[in-house]
Amino acid sequence: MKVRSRITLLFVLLAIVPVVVVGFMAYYTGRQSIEQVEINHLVSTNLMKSSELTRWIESNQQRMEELAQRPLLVQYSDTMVRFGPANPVYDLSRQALEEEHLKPRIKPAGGFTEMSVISPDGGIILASSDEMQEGKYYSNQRFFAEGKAHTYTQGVFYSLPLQQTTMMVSTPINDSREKLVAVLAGRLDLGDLSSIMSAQSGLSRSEKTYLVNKSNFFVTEPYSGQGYALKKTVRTQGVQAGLAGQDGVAFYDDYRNIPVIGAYKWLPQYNMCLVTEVDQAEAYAPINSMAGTMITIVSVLALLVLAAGFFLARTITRPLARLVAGAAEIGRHGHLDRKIGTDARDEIGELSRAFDRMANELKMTTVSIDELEHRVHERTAQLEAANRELEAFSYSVSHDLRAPLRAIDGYTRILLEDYQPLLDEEGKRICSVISEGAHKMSDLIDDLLTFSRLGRSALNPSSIDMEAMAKAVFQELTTAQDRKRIDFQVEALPPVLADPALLKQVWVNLLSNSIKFSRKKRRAVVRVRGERSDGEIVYSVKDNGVGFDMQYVDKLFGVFQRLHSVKDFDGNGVGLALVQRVVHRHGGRVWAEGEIDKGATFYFTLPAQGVI
Amino acid sequence: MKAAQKSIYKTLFVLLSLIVLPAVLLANLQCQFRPQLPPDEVILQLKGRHQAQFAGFYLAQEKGYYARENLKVTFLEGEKDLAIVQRIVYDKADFGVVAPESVLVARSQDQPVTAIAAIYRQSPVVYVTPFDSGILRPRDFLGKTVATEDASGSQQDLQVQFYIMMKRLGLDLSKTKLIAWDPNFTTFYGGEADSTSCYSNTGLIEMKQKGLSLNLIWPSDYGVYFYSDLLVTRDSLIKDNPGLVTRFLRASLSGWQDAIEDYEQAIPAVLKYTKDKDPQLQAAILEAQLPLVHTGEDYIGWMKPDDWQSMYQALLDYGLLAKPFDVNLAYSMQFLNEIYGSKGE
Repeated sequence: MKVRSRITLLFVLLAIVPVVVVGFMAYYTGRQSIEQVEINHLVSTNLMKSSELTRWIESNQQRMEELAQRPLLVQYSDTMVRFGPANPVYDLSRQALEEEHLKPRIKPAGGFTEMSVISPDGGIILASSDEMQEGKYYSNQRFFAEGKAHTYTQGVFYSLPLQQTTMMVSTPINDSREKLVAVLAGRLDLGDLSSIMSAQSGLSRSEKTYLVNKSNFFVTEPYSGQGYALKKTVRTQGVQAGLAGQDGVAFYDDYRNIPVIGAYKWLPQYNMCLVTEVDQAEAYAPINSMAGTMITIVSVLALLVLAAGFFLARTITRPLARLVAGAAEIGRHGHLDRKIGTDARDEIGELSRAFDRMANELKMTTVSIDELEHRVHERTAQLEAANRELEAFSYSVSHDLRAPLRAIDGYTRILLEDYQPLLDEEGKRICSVISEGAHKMSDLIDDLLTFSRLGRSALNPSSIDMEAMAKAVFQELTTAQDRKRIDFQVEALPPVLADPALLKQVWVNLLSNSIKFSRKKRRAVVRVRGERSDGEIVYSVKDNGVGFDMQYVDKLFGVFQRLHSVKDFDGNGVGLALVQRVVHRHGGRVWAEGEIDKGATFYFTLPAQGVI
Repeated sequence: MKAAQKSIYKTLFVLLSLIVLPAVLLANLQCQFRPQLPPDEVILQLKGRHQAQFAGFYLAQEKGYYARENLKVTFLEGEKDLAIVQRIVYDKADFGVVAPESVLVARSQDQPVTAIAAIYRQSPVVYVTPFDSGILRPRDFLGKTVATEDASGSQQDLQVQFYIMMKRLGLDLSKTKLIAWDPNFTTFYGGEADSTSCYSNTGLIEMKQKGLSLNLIWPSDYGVYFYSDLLVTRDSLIKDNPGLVTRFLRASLSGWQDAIEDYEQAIPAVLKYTKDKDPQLQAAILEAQLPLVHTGEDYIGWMKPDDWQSMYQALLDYGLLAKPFDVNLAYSMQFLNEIYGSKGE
């Protein structure tokens, strides 16, 4: 992530996180306190409504009881029951009952919609505020059966004849000797019940209170005019809990599937559940609008901080970008003269100035390196020239030495052949020593020539089957007798791209050394191996000959260096130097490992890709 | 790295297989050890043609309440003059929707049928008169013409309740001219009859839809309390397989519970069976039958000894019963008590 983005993000985080945290906490505590207030309100509404309901029912019961005790009402009722419709007093009593006692209790003057006096035996209506009701029977109504014994209220039920929901209060009419005369029944105005339930505190629009009976039917309308009473059921969480006899508060979806906070209360005396609910949307409206405001503030703040952070980051990243551009130019194009140049006093200004200084110093250092290179070049050229001269000199010296050597050898042979009789034994021996020395010197000179030629001749690389070459060289170097004695083991050797003539020299020297130095072993083993590793091929020749002391390993590859006396092993000490020279020319390495009387191993490597 | 991940997945797979496979096998075994018995086949003989009057049974079928009780229920339509009780007694059907007078009459003839629940706990029988006719109460029928005669079979109650009502009020039936009940109410509409009997859940709806203003004279207002649709079965089934009866009743009551809890939702199920595909009419019937099934008190299907006594006494007085008998034999609260527990009280 770029520094600019990082700084901007940091700004935003530093500004927003605390605001969001504080905002959330405020929202949470606000919501909780609103919930608590709402719960308290709903519970108190429930308590208030249930006590209003009780008061309403009890006051109506009291009115009924009062009426039932009036002596005239008792007397009229008694007369009707006792004399029957055939007697003229029957109708008189009925009229008196209706006009003086029953009708005045009917709305709007009284609290009932219907009031009747019922005969205790057949349940027939003797007199009623509603003449239509006269002669009807209430015999199998519960309020009639209960009303004979005590004051009773029959909860809300559906009356098929009336085609409406209704509620009845009944009470016995007893004479002065407490003997049952008749039953007084009053039909309550459910409109009153509805107004008790629907009267709102004015604090809330969505608040509703309703009653539910134990069969889950609405008893009163949740909202007025819906026609739900005793026609629709409700099985919300609050209603179920209330019907299970519990009082409490819960959060759930109401019968419209709208989330509400609901308080429920079981009213055991009426076998009904009282529920007061308020829409959560309305209850939480204040806190939600606060949350809305907060989100707006946070968004605006975030934008402002984003802009501020962006511009501040720019003041940091712009000089940095210039520094980067300058560094890139210096690095890529080597324009050490370029100055970033700034007069800013902050850390980046210092960094720029330091960078300029560094570029300046780098420029000076670069100059001296160029000069050094130039000098190395010069010296190398001088050295190469000297080397060439030296090689030319050694070649001509070797070449020129051969003529006198041949003369010495020739004349010594003439002496031995033509002047044999004249020479005594000592003379003959001296002559042969001279001849031998001359031969040896000649060999030395030949080797030297070969060695020096190696440094000069160009390489002629071609693909070489190293395995075949090693085997062929071994054949050349050994007699049949030798091969019986020597166990020559050649593993599959990787082929290589190199100069075949020179490589053959390598094999000749290494293998002849092995054969030579293992001559004294009754059973000699020479093992040739080769394997690829890390871009080169390592070949090795191992024998079980006399070996060497590892402390002289440095001298092995020097010219004319010998670790064994000529008496024991012939040779002039040029072979391994030759090997080293050939391998080096091919870009490889040589080394050796050995131990006295335990044999020696000679390694050389060649580049796997061929000659460099 | 990839190879390592692969081997982890492989191990996880093997472990999961070791856990899951035996679980699946065990679950299968359990299923095999608890074989599903074939459903009990049950025939319900309805009181009449398919109509919204039987909505609860349709819902029990459509909502799978019968299937849940492992019942395969077949509905048989009722026909005119079909002796439903006989069909149940003689094993042609297992349950029936029957009027209480049929049950009481059958019982008085020692036929072994018993009511196990009252679906219509109030009778829909009502006598209607034109609003301005001045006929407001039964005594006003004297000297008038009432169309309620000769309704037989499942409509017998129209006539029976009229007789009982008049007799109970001590009114002289001979002073009322009784003519044949006309299911299409043409005699009433034409003025030939001053009053006609009808059902609040069918005929009355038709009249209200016609916009007629009527006076309604309910028998129940005059001490004639009748249940209407009873669910009955034969005694041998109660004795031999009470579990089946409980299961059938429980499922049926669940259907009825649904039918009255939200009667509008019952319309599609009803339309599936009825010939009359008018959803508005079926909805009106469904709404009109709510108070018949559920009055706001007690439980759906609930029956009361007093009500039975009242019906028995009325029919005995009326002379419909062959001989007096113990009315408590005509119904059984055993299954309602089992289903509702003590809640019903």
